[in-house]
Amino acid sequence: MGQVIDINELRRGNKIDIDGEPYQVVSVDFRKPGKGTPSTSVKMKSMISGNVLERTYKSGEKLSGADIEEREMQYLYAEGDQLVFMDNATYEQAHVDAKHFEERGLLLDNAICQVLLHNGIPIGVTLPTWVEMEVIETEPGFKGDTANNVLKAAKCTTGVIVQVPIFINQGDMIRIDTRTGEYAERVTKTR
Amino acid sequence: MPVEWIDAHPEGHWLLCGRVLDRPFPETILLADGAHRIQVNGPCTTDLEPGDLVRLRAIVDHDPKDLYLPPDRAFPVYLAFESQSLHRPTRSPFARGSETWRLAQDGVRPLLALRHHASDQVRAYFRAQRFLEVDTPAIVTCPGLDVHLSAFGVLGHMQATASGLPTPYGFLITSPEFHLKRLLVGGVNRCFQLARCFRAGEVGRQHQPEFTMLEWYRAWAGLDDVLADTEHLVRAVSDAGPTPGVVRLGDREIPLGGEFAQVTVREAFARWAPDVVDPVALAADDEAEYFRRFSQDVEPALGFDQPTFLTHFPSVHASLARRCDDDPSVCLRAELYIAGVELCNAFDELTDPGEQRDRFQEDQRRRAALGLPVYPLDEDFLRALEEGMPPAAGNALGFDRLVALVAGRDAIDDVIAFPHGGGP
Repeated sequence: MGQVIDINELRRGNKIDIDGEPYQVVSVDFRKPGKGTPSTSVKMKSMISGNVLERTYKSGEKLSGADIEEREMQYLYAEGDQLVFMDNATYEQAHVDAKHFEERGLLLDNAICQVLLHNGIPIGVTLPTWVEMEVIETEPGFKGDTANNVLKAAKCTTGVIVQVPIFINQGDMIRIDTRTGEYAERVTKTR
Repeated sequence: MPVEWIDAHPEGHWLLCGRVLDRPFPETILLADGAHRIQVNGPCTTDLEPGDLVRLRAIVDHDPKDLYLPPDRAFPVYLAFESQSLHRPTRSPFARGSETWRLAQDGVRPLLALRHHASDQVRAYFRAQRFLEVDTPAIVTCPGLDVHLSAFGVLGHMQATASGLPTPYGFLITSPEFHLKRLLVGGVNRCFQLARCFRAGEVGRQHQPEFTMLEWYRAWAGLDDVLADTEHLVRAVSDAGPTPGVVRLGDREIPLGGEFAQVTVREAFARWAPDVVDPVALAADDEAEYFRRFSQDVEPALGFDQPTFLTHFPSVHASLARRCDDDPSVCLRAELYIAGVELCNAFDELTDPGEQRDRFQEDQRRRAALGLPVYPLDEDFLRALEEGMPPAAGNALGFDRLVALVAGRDAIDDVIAFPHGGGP
């Protein structure tokens, strides 16, 4: 269990448990109807589903802070729908449900990731911001076609498909931004 | 950052004064006035830096009609042939989030102009209605006994007394109500005040510890008359805003043209918090829960299709309003809501001195029970009621909230030049 937070102390960014689910506070507003007692309206976002919840609390109510921990862990292998990560300091392992990944194709073997734990249970993984992968399949670009912002599809080692500029060839190493899933730059050219 | 246009010079050039907001290109600067940016080109601008206060001689380079901008944003582009930096700041005026940055970049100036026009509209309306604009004291001995209002104390002489502490002198008003009613007793039948009011501990999107209240009273009139005043005032102030006749908040549009709706507290709970069987009973039994449900479920739903008066409040929250003759469990009090924002609190005024004294004493008992400071009874006000206050209705309207709504803003500090901070 996390610590107890008085509603009057609640601030944006705090993490609280609502019915066992961790929520991050998006906004806190002081409310006071005419001739009325003050209350606090809280808008919060589930850290698991992303759903937004709005609740109003009486002054003095207590909330339970969420026990959230972020740990650096290395990705080992997949086991069915479970992805296995390991803390390299303690050798502790964590099994993360693949549903927490929007794009598994950006997760490389042995990648060092940030695993988000709620009460010790993994609820999310933040990938390294940049990953480098080889393009294994793409249409050749045509000389003379130099207009900017023209993109084409490229398939990378893990099978993920990324939109890349036309000058990228099969065999090139490219860098991808995992926050957006978009191509960032070419690392090395194919020989 | 006002940019001053000095009229076209006889030789056909303009004198431009203002502050350099930005330098997008080596020979281009932007001057700012909070609402608009004025672009000035020319080699003589190369040495100017953002933040500089400058005076430039320039000719019109491009006419706004060449720029394909919407008419309200179209400003001519100038070509400067002479520039003079009058002051180079020793500290950046544009630190992000700083006061000057907010005033210059955030477009606060048009909102302050709107405030000004709004108060002009208010004064014009009341002048046409033959009201008297009055001033009343800001420092009082009795700040009002409403259980959930907290007043600021005022210290007297700062010279040391025997205890080493200044003598307490009084309180800042939480509303000008008592004095305005004493004017009614004295024969001023219609009066209004744009009063600065003070309420300790209130900071939020719709709350500031220091705010402006538009309060008015009509003797020999009833609640319907001040609700009609309210409709006229809201429309008149809207006419001074960017969207006359409409409140536009985010993607919501609330038309102000039609008649404002009315809904009782009981009807409102039945619709938006139907599990509360009897809100009037709940208000008496568990006040904090009543207000929590009110804030969570009722208030955010009010006034989205059209402005809506909420009426017939529980008598436990009658404050200085008369109770209904046919149902004394509720009172003749109304609040206007637009887009979930409470704008005002109108009363058919209680004029019975005995009942008013009883209510004040009950408030004193409740304050004592809650460990809150117990302010003294306002004997001057009670004396005035004993001398005879004519039947009257009055309204207290949050002027900052009205201006913010008309401007399409959901927080009142947007329309206040120097808001108090400290909120969550």
